[in-house]
Amino acid sequence: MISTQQLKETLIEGLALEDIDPSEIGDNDALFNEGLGLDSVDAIELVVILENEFGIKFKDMDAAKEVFTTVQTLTDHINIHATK
Amino acid sequence: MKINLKIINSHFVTSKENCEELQEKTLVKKMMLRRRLTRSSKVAIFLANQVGYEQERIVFGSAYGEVKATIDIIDAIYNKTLLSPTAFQNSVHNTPVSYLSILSENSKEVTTVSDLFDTSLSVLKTGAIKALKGDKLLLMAVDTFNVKRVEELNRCGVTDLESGVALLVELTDEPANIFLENKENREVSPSLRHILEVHNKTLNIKNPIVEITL
Amino acid sequence: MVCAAGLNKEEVFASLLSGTTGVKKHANYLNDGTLSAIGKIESEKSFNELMIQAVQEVLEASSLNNFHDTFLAVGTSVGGMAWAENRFMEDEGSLKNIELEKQSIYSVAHTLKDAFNFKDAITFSTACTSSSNALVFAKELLDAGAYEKVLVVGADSISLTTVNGFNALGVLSSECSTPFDANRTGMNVAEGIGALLLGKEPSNIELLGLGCSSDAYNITNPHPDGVGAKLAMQNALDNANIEASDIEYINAHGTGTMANDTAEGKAIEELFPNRPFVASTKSMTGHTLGACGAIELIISAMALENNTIPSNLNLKTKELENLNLAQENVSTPITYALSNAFAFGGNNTSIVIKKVSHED
Repeated sequence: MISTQQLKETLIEGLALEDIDPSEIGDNDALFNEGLGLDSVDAIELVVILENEFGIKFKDMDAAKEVFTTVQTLTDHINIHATK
Repeated sequence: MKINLKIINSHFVTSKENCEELQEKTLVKKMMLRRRLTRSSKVAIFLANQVGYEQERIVFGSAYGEVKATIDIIDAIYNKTLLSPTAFQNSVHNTPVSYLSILSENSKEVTTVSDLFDTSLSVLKTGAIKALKGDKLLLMAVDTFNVKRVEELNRCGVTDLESGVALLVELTDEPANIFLENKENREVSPSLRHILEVHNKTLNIKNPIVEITL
Repeated sequence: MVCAAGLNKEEVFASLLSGTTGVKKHANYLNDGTLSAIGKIESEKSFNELMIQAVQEVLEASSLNNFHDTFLAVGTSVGGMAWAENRFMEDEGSLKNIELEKQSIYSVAHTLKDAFNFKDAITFSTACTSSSNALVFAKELLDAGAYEKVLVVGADSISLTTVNGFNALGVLSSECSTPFDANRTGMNVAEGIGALLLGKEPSNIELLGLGCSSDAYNITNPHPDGVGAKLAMQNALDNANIEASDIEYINAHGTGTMANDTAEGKAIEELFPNRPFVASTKSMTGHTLGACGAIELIISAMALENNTIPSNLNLKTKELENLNLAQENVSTPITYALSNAFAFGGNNTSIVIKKVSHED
């Protein structure tokens, strides 16, 4: 089980986000576009991180994007589906 | 054919490990762009700023390209792990000047050459021909290879793992006072030796003009 | 010219006109073992042997005895990466035997300089516009009077890096690409070699104009409205001193990716209201990356010489209605053609060629 705090740390490290403290990312802030402002390459990087670190695979990018809405939705998904 | 280039400004940066003074937070304010910059990109952006670049056409050179990205990719393929799309998009040789053109909103021509140890000579020759149009040009050569397995690679025995030189130039018919002698440099990658020689010679000359032979 | 569609330019052009694709499915490129559609050159010879042979053929067809006074301008984005990958795998992940002369971008020029002894050489490496930028420089050298003859060679071999890399970006298709189709599924990585000897004497085809630009937009994706593409094409027209309405055929970059084809298509629609024929040959040759500029300029020249435009293979539903996309080969007199190449980081090139008629 991971916490939203741990996921934020993973995001900051894995997506090379600089000068951001986990406390600045709200659990329910949008990850893409407004909010944190991640882009389509980040979406693919997230898929890579989820597979390499948690063993989670997605059928395609559309399936992935449904889960990538906020830190909370992503944390919940990882805690249900992680195989590592 | 001989072409004379006036060196309006030049700059050189080098380090045994990491160039410290690249001012990336000042020069690249948007974090979301800054976070993806490769080391060579940061060096190139810094150098361009130092020589007073303002959206000129660019001729760039790198002998080894994006070494870290290339190794990350080949490791991922060998270990059968998923490849980072950021690593791939950052792995092409013109990555540094693509980022520079994005950052500076420069829609002009940008080109990159790569001829191993003669790379910076190729930059000078390419720049000389392109300068015939009469506009100012930014000529740069950057090679960075401070990567975790550099001992397996660094067979030239150079000491500096990150180096770059930039020249802001324009065509002139004034007589040249800098002539290339192919000076060796034990510290910096041989791929930069020609452009570094030009930079070093400008330091003692008031109106430096280099002769390029094609 | 050598690519998946043929081992010389006549074979390639014949394949294009017969709608025969050289792109085939392979299982041994992607890391996860899934199929990808790849344009592999079908030959027992090694890539380097084919490249030397292609250059030898250009020499024999020319009036030169050797290339000792000729400048070599190379365009490559892969360089010797395929060799390096093999070495790396054989050495179980060690970098110790990676020789720079064989791995680097310079490796192509190195091989050709060894075989032919050129006066001098420069290698251009700007991803998919590599050999186009080499062509631009070649013309600049000739116009400056620095050289009488320049050989431009575009060469990229297939590498695991490029196949897996484009796959990582989500733009690789497991099917033969269908550029400009509303339902297109992506690009096909391919290998190819294109060699052109440029000089100042009169010949059938003239390199009339060159245009370069940068998108200054995004490191991977082109500007969605094709702003940079439009600027490159306009620059080429201005350099050629002709109007957009003079262009009868556009050999599009047309990779089959959603991003490129929409951006390029929009740029062409806006700049060419006279609706010249537009076709991409990448559905038959695959995307030869750094070599595509040289290869597709040769194809464009052959289209001019034969007054025949190869079709957009397998195009069913046009995404942009106003584009005059050839869905069959078109036989029509053509004097002016434009060939595009666009690359990562928003590097754009466009080249105008003209067929010189006997009365000129």
